[in-house]
Amino acid sequence: MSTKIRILGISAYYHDSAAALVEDGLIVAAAQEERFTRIKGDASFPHNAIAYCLEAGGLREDNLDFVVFYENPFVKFERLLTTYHWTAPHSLRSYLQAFPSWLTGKLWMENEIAREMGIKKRIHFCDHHLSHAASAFFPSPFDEAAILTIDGVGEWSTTTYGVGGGNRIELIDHIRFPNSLGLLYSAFTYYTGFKINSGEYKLMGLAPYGGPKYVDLIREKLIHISDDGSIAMNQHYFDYVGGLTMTNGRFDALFGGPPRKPETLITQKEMDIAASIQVVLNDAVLTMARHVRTKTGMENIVLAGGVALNVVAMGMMSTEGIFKKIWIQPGAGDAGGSIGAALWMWHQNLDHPRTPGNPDGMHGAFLGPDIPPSSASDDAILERLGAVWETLEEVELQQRIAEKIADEKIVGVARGRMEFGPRALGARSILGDARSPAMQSHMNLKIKFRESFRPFAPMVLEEDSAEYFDVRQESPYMLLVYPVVERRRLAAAKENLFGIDLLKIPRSEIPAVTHVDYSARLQTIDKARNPFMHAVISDFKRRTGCSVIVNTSFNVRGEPIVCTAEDAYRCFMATEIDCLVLGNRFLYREKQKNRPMNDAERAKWLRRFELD
Amino acid sequence: MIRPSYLKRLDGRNQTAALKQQILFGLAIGWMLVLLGGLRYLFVPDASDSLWLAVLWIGVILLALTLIVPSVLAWPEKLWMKLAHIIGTGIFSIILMVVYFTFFLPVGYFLKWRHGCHPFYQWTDGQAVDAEGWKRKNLRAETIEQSGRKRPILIQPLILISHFVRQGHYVFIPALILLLLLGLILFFAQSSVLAPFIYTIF
Repeated sequence: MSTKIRILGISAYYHDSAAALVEDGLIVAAAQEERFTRIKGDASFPHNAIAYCLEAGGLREDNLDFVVFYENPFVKFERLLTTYHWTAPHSLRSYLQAFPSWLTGKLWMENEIAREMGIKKRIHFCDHHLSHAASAFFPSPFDEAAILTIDGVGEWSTTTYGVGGGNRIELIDHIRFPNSLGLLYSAFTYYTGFKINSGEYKLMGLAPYGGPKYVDLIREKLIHISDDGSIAMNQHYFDYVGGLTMTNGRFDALFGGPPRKPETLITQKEMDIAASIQVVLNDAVLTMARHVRTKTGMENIVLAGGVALNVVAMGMMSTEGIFKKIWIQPGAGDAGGSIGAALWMWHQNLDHPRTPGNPDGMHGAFLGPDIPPSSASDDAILERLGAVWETLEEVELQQRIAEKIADEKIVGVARGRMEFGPRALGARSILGDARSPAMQSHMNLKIKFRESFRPFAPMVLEEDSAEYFDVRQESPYMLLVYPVVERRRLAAAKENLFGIDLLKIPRSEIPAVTHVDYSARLQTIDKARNPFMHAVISDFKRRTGCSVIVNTSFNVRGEPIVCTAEDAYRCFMATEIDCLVLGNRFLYREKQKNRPMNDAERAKWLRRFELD
Repeated sequence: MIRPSYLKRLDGRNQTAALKQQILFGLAIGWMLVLLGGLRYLFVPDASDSLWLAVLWIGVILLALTLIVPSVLAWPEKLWMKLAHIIGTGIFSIILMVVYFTFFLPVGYFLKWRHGCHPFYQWTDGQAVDAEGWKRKNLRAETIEQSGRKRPILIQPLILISHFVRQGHYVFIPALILLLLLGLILFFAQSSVLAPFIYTIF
């Protein structure tokens, strides 16, 4: 064996388990367990993700030098025990539900992990928010930067800030449980009838349809935001401390009724609530950012934690210009903690120097399993599934994709290494024409089978991004929202439309990716990170004069993003995607040996995935 | 898709563990039946001799199966462990409840009486007062051993207790010690064929 030091980072047992392999400080591989098990947000021990990381590194588990878990179970247990004491007798049911698994497993995490992996090595533990901070700072392009991590809750912390410089991170202050921006947003996610830990994106997408009529009520009753950005939440209205739900009856009374039942009609009330909580969140995040800027004196900031995936708040932070540049870990949720834990061990504990990557250290987030241009094993699987394809050279393939998108066809692309994190960035994506007014509705209802209000994101050539959007910096990981520039907007009719009806009016030259408030969650495409997609969009621009296409994740509602060629082909046959790219293969829907699924078969197939 | 070698080794470990469980189950239950049936049949002659002889023979057959084809015991062993799980869950909940009402409830009330309202409770229908704000984030540096081996499980409760002592959580320590003892017993018991018997001790 070589003398490289191999570190495996693991996040597991809460939601979205993942593993990451770092070799001599380089992130070699990272993947979420859900992609392999096909269970959205799978929290089980990430055996498949570990297996993939070890294969990618050519290793056996006993060749690993260090295994690091992304949080400290003892400190988390201390929080639980403390909380259950303080909230007795209300906490009885929650305690009876949580403690059996803690006492027989989670508390003995070192043994659990070693047993699961079949190793006798010591397992190390990194503080939850330190894992987030490490995942944000160490792969960032900055030599020094302020760090801000915001999520639901780690051990005790819900928000931390600090400074990163060279190979060191220092977390200075934190806000403690139960005061949590992440939990506040999750409480509203729950109240509006969406699933916690996955429905937050929907709440954010719903906000532009509503008006911020509940802002004063939220500020007056639920949360106090201090001038330094610290928050205090009024537990009078919440149930998550010691209880089993996020909100209580007093919260219901405040907002005039019980939580919306999942899958029932979304009304103007939910839209107004979504708009209101987004305003409060933006305010809190911006106030925190200003405080961090003052306290640290840093020009740039890096972020991680679930709230950093709120692209509206992040876009606003960028637009406000509080910091010169923002860099957000693409796997900002708990999955990214696996990368952070491993990098923390390499830099902070083993004291290895760090050279900031250019453009950054995340390799475009393409850290997952590969679908190569050609492979005998994929050919065999596709033949078994009745697939018919033609193989093209790379340039020809790029031209064909661009041609089909320009013809308003929908093209699924599964090619190269899979993305790490919740966003599909071109390796497991469904692409469409952003100029088409019917594209958003068609993609939502016929391809993704999801709610029609949900917006789609644009992919834009980085060099042309300012032509279409009011950008302040690059957004390679689709984590910043910017408005469409004025000159591209269409004069919307002054009709009296409300709620979802607002969608009926095209708002710009690229209506499929322009939200009702003219915002767009954009992904800038540069040659360094994504040369293949850069060539595709460049060709599309040559044909149409437009540098923007639609990019959405390659999956249907409730399904994890596809991982293998087989997953992609099955999804292709279940939906109305017109063309599919698998490696260098090009497939037409109408040429397949097997007919695509009919409505009944599709309904049965969709039932496999739990609604999010 | 070719199954990665890590997963093959995991499958192997799982199969070995399952086989070990089946053998232990066969030996433990087989010997128990042999001893019970044999002793009753030989030393306590009564009208139910034929029953104890049958028990003896069932025990012998179980032992023979364990030695020859232990895999046939897979389903009986699974049912046995399922039974253990059901008994364990019920008894565990009762014990946890006893701990809760003996320690958590009085200590919780004591804390609220002694320290007034905790931030968890300090708000009512009004505006926020005395928000905790930003606090120092103190992290203990971990000592890294290059070739560190897994620490024995029995050391881990001590690390946890010392953490509570460092944090000044003295009032939680009685409940913590009790829960740790319970947890350790159950951690080892949950994969043991003797689990149903261990649970009934409680």
